[in-house]
Amino acid sequence: MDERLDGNVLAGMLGELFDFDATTAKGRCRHCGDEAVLAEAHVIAHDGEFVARCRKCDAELLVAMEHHDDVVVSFRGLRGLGIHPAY
Amino acid sequence: MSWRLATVGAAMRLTDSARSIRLDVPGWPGNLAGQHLDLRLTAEDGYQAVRSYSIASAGPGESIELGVDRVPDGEVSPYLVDDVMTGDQLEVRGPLGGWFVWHEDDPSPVQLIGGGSGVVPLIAMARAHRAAGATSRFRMLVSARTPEDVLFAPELSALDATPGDRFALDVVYTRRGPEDWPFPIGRVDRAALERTTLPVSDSPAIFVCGPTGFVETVADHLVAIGHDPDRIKTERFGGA
Amino acid sequence: MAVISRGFGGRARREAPDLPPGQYLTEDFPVLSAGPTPDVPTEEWQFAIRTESGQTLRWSWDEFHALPFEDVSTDIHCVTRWSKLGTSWRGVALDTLFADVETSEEWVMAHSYGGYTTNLALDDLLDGRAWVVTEFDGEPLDPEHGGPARLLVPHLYFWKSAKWVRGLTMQAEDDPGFWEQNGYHTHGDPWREERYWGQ
Repeated sequence: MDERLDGNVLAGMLGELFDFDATTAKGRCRHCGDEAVLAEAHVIAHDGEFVARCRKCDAELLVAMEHHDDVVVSFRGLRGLGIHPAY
Repeated sequence: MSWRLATVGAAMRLTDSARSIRLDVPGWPGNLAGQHLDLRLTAEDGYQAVRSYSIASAGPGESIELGVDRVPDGEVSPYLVDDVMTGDQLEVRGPLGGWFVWHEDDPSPVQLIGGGSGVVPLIAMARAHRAAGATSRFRMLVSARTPEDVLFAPELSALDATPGDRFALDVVYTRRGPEDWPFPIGRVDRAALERTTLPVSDSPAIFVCGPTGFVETVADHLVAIGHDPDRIKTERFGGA
Repeated sequence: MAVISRGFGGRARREAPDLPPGQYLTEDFPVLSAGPTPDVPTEEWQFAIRTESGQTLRWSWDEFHALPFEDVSTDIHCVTRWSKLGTSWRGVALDTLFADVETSEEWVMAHSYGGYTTNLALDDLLDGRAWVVTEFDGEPLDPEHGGPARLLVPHLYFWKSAKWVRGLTMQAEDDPGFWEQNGYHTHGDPWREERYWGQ
């Protein structure tokens, strides 16, 4: 079943790739320029596959998959990802 | 980040469809209030399923508590609510997420708004607030179908009954209220939010957790009422 | 090594010796989607094949149903590690749809209502190995499972069997589709375990 979630659900998988919490990093949507922490992206999850969309324009920000110990993440809809300690 | 072995220390029914599960996790580094974990189940033939669950407990220690509501047609939640027993083993990865988190040194008033099992990360915040002896004001709104569907109801009532105004609880019932319930029955709308939540003038930090539809409706009303969108943090739960 | 959780069965499965590597058997229908389910009324549905010369063949729902339909019974393999055996479908073979198509290109991009794309080799679509199907298990294809019509390319991982398919475009290069741009293998042969980039 598809679950409509948000970027918070990506924390564990992204933690396999990075040693910081990427869900608190601010990303910029390549399509509309909206800036938001990844935690706020809209995410559709199904059986280890995740599509994160911009909360403003619905463009795809990232696509990720985790099956057993395989983790693959594509950030192609993000124009950048930054850490801001103030957030 | 790696998977840790977790052993079920206790399981306790919260409502007809929800259970509190205490996990003993050697090496667990403690967690902040509002964080979640990923839980992985492996079947005998090697098949695995992973879901995210909010943690109801906060602070240091290797024993943590989850609150899990059964999602009909779900795969992991029915196992956790109906089947898992003390002594059973599974795996967890965490603590996860630095966004939907309350820090005890934040002096702001806090408004918590939970729908269904969206209460779980919020009770972690309420517990951390109490444990820290924090003086900031906490107000919590719970949306539940009936009085029997409120997770952690006795504990929330006890917090609400504590003298002083550090914690206040409101409940909106969507199907049926207690006898002689004076307020409307139905989904949380703008009027219910204006009646039960901290005013814009308090500039509260707001945490909203629940199913996607609930979270989006509530967040839209809060912005319409005049709250700063940057003060509203949301988490949509899954865990099927 | 993962710890086994007592009594956790997950979805119903049974033992099967002849599965591709790393696959598990399911009795469910694996669903894979990249977004909301599009709602495509059959009176608006069209299927088109466009070539490099600009030639476009189009079928409305009724025209499509005037073509010869075939019953297909086949195993399907999802990259999320589900396999389902002996599924039954009904649809039109791509050999039939390509009968009047003149092209010298070797690659195809499948396009779906909702914007999803997936890339395929023309060779993988011909010789009775691929169909556009409108029925599953004797019933019209549910929108959740790709209805009104989906591609069925069962010898490749199931993401290649594009749901809500609306057309095929010939292409000179093997340009990647949606999942292929985002991490999945460009070809996707389950027997070679072509799951991800670099495998």
